[in-house]
Amino acid sequence: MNMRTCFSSMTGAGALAVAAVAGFGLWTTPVQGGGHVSGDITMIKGPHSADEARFNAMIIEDFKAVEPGVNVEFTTYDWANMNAELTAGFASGNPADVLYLVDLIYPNYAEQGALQDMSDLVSAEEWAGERALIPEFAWDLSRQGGGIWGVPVLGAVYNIFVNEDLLAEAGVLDTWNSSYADMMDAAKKTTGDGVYGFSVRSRTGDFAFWDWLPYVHNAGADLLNDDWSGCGLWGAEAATQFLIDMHEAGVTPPIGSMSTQEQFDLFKGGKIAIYHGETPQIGELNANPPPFNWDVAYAPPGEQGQTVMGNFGILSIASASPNKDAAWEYIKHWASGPQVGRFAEQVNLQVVREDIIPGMFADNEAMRKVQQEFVPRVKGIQPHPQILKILQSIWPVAERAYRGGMTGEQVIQEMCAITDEILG
Amino acid sequence: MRRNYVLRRNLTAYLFLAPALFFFGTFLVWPGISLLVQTFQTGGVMSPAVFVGTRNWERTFADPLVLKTIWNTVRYCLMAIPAVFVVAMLFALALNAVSVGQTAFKTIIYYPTLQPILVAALMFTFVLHQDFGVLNVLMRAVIGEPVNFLGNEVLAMPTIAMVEVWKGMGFWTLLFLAGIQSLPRDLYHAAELDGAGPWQRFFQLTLPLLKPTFFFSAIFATIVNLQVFDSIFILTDGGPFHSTASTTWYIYRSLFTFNEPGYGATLSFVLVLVVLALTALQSYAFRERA
Repeated sequence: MNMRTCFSSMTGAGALAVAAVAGFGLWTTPVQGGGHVSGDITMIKGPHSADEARFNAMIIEDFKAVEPGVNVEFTTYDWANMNAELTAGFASGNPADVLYLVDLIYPNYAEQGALQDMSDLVSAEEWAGERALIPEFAWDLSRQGGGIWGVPVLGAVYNIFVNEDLLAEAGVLDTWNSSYADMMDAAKKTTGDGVYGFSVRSRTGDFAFWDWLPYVHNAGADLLNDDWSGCGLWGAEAATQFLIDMHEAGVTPPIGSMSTQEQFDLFKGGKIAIYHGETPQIGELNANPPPFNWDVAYAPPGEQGQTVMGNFGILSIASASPNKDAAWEYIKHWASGPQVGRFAEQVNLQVVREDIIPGMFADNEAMRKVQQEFVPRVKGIQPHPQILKILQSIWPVAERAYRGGMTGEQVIQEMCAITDEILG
Repeated sequence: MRRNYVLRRNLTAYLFLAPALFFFGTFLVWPGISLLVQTFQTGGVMSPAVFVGTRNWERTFADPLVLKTIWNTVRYCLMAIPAVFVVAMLFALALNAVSVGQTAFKTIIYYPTLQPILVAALMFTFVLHQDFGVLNVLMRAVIGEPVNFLGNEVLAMPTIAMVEVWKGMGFWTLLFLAGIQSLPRDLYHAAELDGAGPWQRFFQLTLPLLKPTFFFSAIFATIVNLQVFDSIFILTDGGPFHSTASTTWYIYRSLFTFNEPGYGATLSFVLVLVVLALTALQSYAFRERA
């Protein structure tokens, strides 16, 4: 299965056509179960907001109106320890019935039989209309080993934030992301007086590889080759070298000295010109506007394209769930237009349903830009069962290279050796 | 008659031993055997266990990260244990000399030990931070530039050891203080009468007499510190590029991040062997010197 699918089918003509018919505010009516299931179920999800529980309580409340016999208990796992918490849940034999899982981790759980194959459920005639609203690329991301392991609901884009005032002062506001050379030039010109021109994450624990991957994808490379049998990073040498050069040019915060949150704090303080972040931070900037003009952007074009990195979340059912019918009803409800649309707006994430895109983020210019302009450029990861292990195993090589003493070519060579060894 | 008596006596002894043996067997022997069995399997947590022979062991010996994590762990122990012992001994000697308010000082010194590692980590963020850390304010004044304590592969492990020394010094101070206060006073009086000064009394009396305490402490500290995990997990997550990756950190990662229980079990067994080997070495040294 080739997962090198871009997000391009998501918007464009298809979405606009749907929007023309539906219009904002006329989202698809949620699929209603009609009160034919009952029982207690639990849903577990990583938090996308400090108000996660409250936002989910709204979804549950609406669900109770259509399925009064089902009690839903919502709980969260910690993103940094999601695997440990989820594994403990599965190992206990009593995991949550409904699980929000990201493409980085679900394939391993699917491979180990912890998840319910939802192929039959999502292919049911009664749900065909809803299924059609989710683009095929998203379904591809939830396919693994011949099964469909969840309903794609949300996307999280990793974007760049720019301090427009700093770029304007340096005279590079309109040119900074025309090419990698221009980006380097802008970073150098904006560095000084306690200001760093450029920042990317560097630590494994901060999932630093998300900031590196768009540069890899822009070079036409990917973590795995086309048939996922070996390393696919060949071709990303120059892109990796560019990021090494950025660090060696002294335009970034000292490597490893700051977490991504600390870098974001510096950005908010006007001390970073080009900062690699993620869309939930838009909410923070909107809530507490910094004293400068800012915008969202993506990396300059590479040799093979100009992509944006994104993760996707699916709603799965645990194979050990004793109440799969109720779990499925709840997933249908959660994935319905009004529910997922409201939630995405509340937490500043992107949706995959094509019918609701045009009407989303009406009052949030940055998010609207991300949803409508960036998302079509998204190139996600390849959901291989070993993808997390590959990423976490190869990243220390880049972490070392950012400190100097290694070329992009050596980095890719070493990363490929590790990847090939993991893949056997 | 005699045989019945011996039997009854043995039976009584075994009955008294039974509760302890039950817990020993349930919580130590049985998990140990299970762990050993798991080293020859894959899966077993979310999917059924499958026998894979010696594959996990072969992988362990071929994995360069295993050797690196063992070396990192030993390196950490070599930094943290002597440092905490020296600091704790100094505090213990100072406290021993204090006659008023000793309890209050003990409480203050023990306070860091009570702190959860999360609190300690947060506190040290404010101490070590590149831009606003207290220590880096000092560094700027002394050497003119801040030091990247946790982001530098050479300094990261000593920095973690420093955090652990801060956290552990309360416990060891009280232990050494108890040891010092249990030493026979008459020997000190005799030494004083013979004209021995404070340094002589410390080196000729206190240190030799505290040997049993030191050896117990060394073994205990080694066992505990070889399992260092939480401070590493929170402060560096094994980075930068595995320079602070400990064996326990790698076990955790194999078990919970990569879902490889068989490999995690094998690494755990390796750690058990390392702990046993070092403990045996220390016990041997203790026997020789005792």
